[in-house]
Amino acid sequence: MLKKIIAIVLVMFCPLSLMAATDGLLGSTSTGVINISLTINTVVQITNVKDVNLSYVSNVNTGDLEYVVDLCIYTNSPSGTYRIMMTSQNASGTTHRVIGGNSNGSTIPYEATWFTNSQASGAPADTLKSGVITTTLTGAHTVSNTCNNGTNNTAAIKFKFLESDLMAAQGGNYSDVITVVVSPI
Amino acid sequence: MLMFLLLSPLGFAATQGTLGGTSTGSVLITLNINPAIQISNLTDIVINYVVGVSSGNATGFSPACVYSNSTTKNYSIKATSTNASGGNMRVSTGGGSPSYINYTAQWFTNPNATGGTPVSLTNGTAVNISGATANNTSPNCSNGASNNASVLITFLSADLSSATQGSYTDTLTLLVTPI
Repeated sequence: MLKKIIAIVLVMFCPLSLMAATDGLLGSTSTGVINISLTINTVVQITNVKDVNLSYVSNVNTGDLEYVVDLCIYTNSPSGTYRIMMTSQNASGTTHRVIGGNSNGSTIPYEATWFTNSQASGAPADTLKSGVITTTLTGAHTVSNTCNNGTNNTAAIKFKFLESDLMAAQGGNYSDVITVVVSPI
Repeated sequence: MLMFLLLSPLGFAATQGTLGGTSTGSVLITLNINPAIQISNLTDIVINYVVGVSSGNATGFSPACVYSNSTTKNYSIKATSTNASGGNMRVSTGGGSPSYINYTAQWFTNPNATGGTPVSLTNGTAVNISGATANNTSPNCSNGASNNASVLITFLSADLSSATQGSYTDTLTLLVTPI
């Protein structure tokens, strides 16, 4: 009796993955059972990334210099959640920087913020520090891995160079390479 | 006596001997063996589909042994998916708002789900498997050494690549009937 009770409890709480196929019995008909298990892993993708080219003319441009890049974040997770880690090639600690092409290695810091919508409207979802993983972000596209070829981008990065830093910088070309790693949750 | 013979299935009945130097009686012996069939040696099917790595359709199969004591060795098979919708077999994530992915099932008269002319299985519909392929000597096909059938399930890549991540399951019930 005790064995029977234990067997019933095991069947009730045994996950499907642990259940075994059941052979049929010999009779006028026979019924066998197969358990089918399909696992689809979680994936993410960032697309519609574009390079940023900015120019700043002292005494002509005023205020901070901002630029927004729209992106597509896709995940097959139904929650649409993800995390970001952005890394600046020329960072100092967690500060993003562009570096001058001249030989003295002068740099200009810049800020980056993440928006969970295109065009960076409203409040940013998080501030991006170089090499620092963000909090949980939401709103990734869960159907199209290109956000319908960019017509429904789901995120944006706003870059900002402070006017004070720009005014103090030497003339020249500055550049940086940032790497954005998206991780599913 | 005429009435008794008409009611006897084979036209025979036990006869009693008559009184004499010897006496002979006869007994009719009838043995009926009912049709019997068995499906066995099934295995569960587990598929891990890695989006971005896996390509093409995803397939898996289970071998099977179909035994029948029918002299024709023919049978019908009916597959029923727990999560079916109409004739479509489906796996499900379960829960309150389940997601589904369709799959197809084919029946092979060999144990490796390859070659030949497989029969497509539609949920809840019995199909005849002719060709005398059932084993009629060993109910378990010699412990699987001579399995004689298999079921192949296929998920289309288009359905997989557009599916949300997660664990999907189904229970496929296979009913065999001698014909």
